[in-house]
Amino acid sequence: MDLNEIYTRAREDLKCERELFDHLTDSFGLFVRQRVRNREDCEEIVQEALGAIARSFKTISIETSFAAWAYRILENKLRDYYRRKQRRAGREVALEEASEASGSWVPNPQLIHNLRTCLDRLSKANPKYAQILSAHLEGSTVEEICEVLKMSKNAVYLVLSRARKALRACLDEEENC
Amino acid sequence: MAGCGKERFEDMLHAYELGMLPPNERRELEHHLLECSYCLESVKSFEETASHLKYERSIRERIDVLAGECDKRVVTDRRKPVWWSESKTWRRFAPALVLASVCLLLILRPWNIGIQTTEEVLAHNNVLAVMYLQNLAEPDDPERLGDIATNLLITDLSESAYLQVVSSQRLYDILKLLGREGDRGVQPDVASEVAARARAKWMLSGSILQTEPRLIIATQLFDVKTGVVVGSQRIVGEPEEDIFALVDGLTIAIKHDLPLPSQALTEPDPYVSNVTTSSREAYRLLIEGKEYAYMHYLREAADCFERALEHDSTLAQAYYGLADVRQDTSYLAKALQYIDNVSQVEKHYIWATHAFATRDDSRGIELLETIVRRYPDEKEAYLRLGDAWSILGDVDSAASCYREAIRIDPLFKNAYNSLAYTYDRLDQTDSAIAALDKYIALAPNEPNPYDSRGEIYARHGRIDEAIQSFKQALEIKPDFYPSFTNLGLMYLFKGDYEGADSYFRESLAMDARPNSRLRLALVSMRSGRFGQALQILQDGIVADRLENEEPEQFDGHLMKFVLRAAIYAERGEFSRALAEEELFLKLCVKDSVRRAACSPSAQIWLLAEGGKSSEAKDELERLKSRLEEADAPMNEYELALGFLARVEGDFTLALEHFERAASARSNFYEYFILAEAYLNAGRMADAIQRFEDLRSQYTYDRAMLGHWSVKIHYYLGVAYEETGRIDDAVGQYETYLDILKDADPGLPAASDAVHRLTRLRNR
Repeated sequence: MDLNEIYTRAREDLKCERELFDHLTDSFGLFVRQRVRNREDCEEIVQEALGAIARSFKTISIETSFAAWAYRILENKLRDYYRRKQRRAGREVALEEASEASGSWVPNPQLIHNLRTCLDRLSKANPKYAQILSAHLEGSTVEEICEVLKMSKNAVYLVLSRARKALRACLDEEENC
Repeated sequence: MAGCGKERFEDMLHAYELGMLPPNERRELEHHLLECSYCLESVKSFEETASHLKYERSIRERIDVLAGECDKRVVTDRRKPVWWSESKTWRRFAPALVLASVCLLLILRPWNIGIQTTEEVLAHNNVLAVMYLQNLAEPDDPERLGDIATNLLITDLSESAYLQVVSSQRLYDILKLLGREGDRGVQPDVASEVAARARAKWMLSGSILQTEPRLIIATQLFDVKTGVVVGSQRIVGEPEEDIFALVDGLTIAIKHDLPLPSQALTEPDPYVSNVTTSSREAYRLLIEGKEYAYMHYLREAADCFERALEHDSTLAQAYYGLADVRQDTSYLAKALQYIDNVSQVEKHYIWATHAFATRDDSRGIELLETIVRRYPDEKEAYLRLGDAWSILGDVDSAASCYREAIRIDPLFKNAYNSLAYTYDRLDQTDSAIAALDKYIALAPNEPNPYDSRGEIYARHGRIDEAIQSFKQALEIKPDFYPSFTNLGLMYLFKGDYEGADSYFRESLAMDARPNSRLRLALVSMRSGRFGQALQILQDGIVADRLENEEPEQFDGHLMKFVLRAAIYAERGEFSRALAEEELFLKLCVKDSVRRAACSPSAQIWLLAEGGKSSEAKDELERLKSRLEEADAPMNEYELALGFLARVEGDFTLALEHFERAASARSNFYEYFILAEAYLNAGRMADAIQRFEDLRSQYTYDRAMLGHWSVKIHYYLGVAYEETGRIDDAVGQYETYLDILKDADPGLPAASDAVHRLTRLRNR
């Protein structure tokens, strides 16, 4: 996808403009959900960012890349959100703590069951996956995990990537059973 | 769709979904996701599963069990891998270990977000360590010619796009780790161990054989892996030829010796004097200034930088150094003016600092990340990245950066210092003190760790311990300026005004600058002697103008107008307050570096208070447009809206705006405004919580708020009274009135406090 090209066309063409903003809504939503668990807050942040982009994308001259410019706007809106969040809590809190405290994620019982089955299966073929995951969930950084498992960071990412593929295949299989 | 085609990003997807990527890699991947539908769809379709892996308790428990079954060692075994065995000479390297380190050089880059150009790939493979050039002609080396030559050579060689030169700081850090801090003439085996730890492919060592009548430098270039001499040079300067010209010649010769691509010999190669200075004395002073700055001897560092500028008024690094040690962005403008005369990496540092000063935080972070991409061991860049994230409120990312800096150099004391402040912000005071204890252990004879510890204590109401720490700092260095002023502040808060005043006057004698003059007004402001405070501030303004042609460059000068405005406002003299505020804004925008940071929310408030609501609204619209055009955060606009609502008596609306405006910049002023807003809106519990928090902070920011910081007691009294805590209310009113016992008559809050106290006592 050539976002610069879509952006250039979107400045003149309404259909392309809609395509551009649909894409941004999709991607921004994903990025923000990685950091903020509360769904309402996520939507608000995304809407603020899209609003800022909509107000200026036709008039501003973007010298580098549209993606970089748009992403910077989203980052600024996220920072505004963090500031508000921290002050409302009355003290400085870590960002992850602030966002987790007001999570709104809903568990899926069927997925949980299938996931347990697949993780068991996977751990036999890819034992390092559980180790990496467990360490990460307990708060170890990637660097710490690399040091103790004597792996490079790319090797860690590769383990995760392969596990993901296997997990996905297994979950598809369980779903079709 | 066939797939992404960029394996690297595909491999990172699951780490991203799990929240494992460090901020810079996350950013890079998200940029990719914006442009790659394949990867975006892949992440979207796996999002629910990833959420369950992260958040579902039973799944996490299952993962722990599975990990335990696989001989889990991660959370218990935190030893670092041993890179080298103890006894090696430069000829007896274990080839496997060297090879492993070279391979890991390519793969193991904790913060490397990707090598984006062919040249960068080559540079990362071609790492050269330049050891200190000993001055054999004058072993004492009073002119520090050895340091000068070494630093110039590193700078000049670093300009190559095909070579990565280990910085002198990095080599110094490694020597420190080996217990050889400050060693100049290291033996070959030690030198090669240093080079190997620096993951260098080659090592250059050498010496200055003669200084008069002509300079002669000899060098040898070794392959670190094999120990084989790759090249030797002996450069003889012409009579009167300076060190800069010699280094230029040496750089060319060394590049010829190295097996670099042919393009390396034809790439642009500026004269080293063009990226540093042509004055040997200026360069020597620059080196010394940086050394002092590293130890937080800020006055000495500033002195060196200023003396360097006397020799070369175009020395951008000296201006940059002054901007750093004086925390004064006015020097940045000069640094930018001469930025063409610095090396590539220094350009990035200066641009980054400018970006932060003008609140283009994203750009500043990008620039710093460019540095670490090109120079992965540049711990200073990680430190500054941490500082940037800290200011932006992303404390998590800040801590990551500081940890990375410590990983590069486990003895990096400044990173421990910054990590301590980060822990403090996370309310992990014990961890903060522990980090500072580590800092003290690393630098027991430096004053700054004790000063930092004092500041942490002061921020948490432990004023007596803070005083003790500041005094410890002064025992080590009796003229350590930060501790001097901090001690003055502590005495101010304790009510020992004579003690405070004497420290402030002493600090003015040590450093007669606008900031020091500003502090002279703190005692009067705190004790409510506003007439006296106004006069002191006015005298300070005049003195600033006499001393400097452009005093508006200094924050300490501008703050005098802000404080005069605050005093007039407290007295109800809003026209005068507005006049001072407008003077402040007028001076502020004259400075191109500061202009973006100037903000008129207080002006808007004062216009409204003075009955000029239409003008206030015009300014408000101008502010809104300016912020929207720059796509800047809107918190200043929210602040202004809050003030307007407050003036109109709509305290609920005012509170909404102030809540949105609240800043993560540890901004005492905005936090105070918010606390006041809770009180006005009748939310006593929230008001009490915040005022109590403010009351326990013995900080410079609080002292600068003068009477407002004292009013905390009055407001607490009101809030306690409203919630039925009568004894507490009486206590606060008494404290407030005691502080103001010598205050100017007629202060509204003081009169009200007297009435309330009388009423409560008569109950």
